[in-house]
Amino acid sequence: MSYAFFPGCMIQLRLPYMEVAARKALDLLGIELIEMPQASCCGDPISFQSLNKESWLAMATRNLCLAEEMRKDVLTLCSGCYETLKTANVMLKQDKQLKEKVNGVLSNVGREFKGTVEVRNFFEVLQRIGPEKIGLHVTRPLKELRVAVHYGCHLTRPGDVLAFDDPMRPVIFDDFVELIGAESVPYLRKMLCCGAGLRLVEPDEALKLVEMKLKYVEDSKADCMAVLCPYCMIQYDLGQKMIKRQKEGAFQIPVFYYPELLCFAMGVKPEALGLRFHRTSVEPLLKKMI
Amino acid sequence: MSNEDVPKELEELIKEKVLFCYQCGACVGSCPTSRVISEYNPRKIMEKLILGHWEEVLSGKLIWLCTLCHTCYEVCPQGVGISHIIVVLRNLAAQRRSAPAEFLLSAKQLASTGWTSPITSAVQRYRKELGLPEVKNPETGELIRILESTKLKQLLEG
Repeated sequence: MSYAFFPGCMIQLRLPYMEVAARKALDLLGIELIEMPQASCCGDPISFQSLNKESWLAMATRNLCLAEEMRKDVLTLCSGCYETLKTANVMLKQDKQLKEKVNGVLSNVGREFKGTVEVRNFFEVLQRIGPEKIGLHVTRPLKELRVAVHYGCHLTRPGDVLAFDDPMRPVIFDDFVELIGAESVPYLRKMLCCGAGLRLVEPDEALKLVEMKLKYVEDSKADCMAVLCPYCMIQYDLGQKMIKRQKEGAFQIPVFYYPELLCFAMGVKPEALGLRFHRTSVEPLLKKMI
Repeated sequence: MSNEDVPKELEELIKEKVLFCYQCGACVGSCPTSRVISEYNPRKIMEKLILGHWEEVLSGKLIWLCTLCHTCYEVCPQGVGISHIIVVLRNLAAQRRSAPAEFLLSAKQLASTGWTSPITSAVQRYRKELGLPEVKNPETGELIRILESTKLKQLLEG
């Protein structure tokens, strides 16, 4: 299996350690990633869509056209890119008028959307490999690791367009955490947004959303959090360093990108990943895990 | 504030979606922003649209506080599609040049390099150290033509 590889702005340019983990995990599972040298930002579902939806769709669709030329389905690493590219793909396939409108814009740059590829997130690719096959690669199950799963909004919502898992009661992330031997612990407000979309204009209030969730995670006695989106990663990993708590003391909750956990479970040496780039140290927990 | 001036797209949305809102408050009960900013209340935004106070909604800052998490979209028993309505409201407000500057930044960055984050020498070094390929800019000519033909370019330069 091979995919047109779409890591997105945030991961490529702000958090490349996430890209390392995704590439290593998929390589071990026999997935070939094909670069997209002319790809741009997906279109950004928050700021760009808010300014001009038509422009947002056209920018997203241009990226889809590149994958169509390659005759490859797209793999996105960021849930923001996933929402944007999948929304464009689904809407244009369903709505002939909209397709004509966007193709009208793209005709100015000599491109045309045909609707011949699919957009996949990391878990969808794992599903297609098959849990049984992945299980065979798990040589170092993460026994006794208690993980607070944070789905993030744009992996499952809007549910009618993404149609990936239940938009409010998803299970897939928990299943993949358990597949690698760890425990997915229940905690309050599991589906609460990380607040990245609010950070743009109200950073202090957005940080309160981070603090709220971290408190519930702490209460659950989880060892760490797991995320699948770079925006959620920044909110919880960097955000907890920015929160100054008076009485309880600082948070110390390592936040992992799911592919990092998958790499550990498949025996990848921690030194091969960019763990030192996490803002909240993962070192103390690493000793327990490996 | 006469109804004749309602932008057509908004008028249709109000008629086809917003008027079905019966003010139950499921949206505000599940809204992350409302948890930390009490003035932000999606139910009240719908109420204002129903009552014809769309001008006030478009010119205010509240619509820019939504995180677009789409929780209200999922929980609304009437299928009003609030987060999608917020996007339409923001688009209309942006046309009137009342989008906050923070929202214009990433689109401006995209127009100049193709990415919403700058490509710095530090990040290239960081990538090299991790064994990752160098990030390159796409040819931005195509992107700029898309921004021009959707009339976003002019807005960014404004």
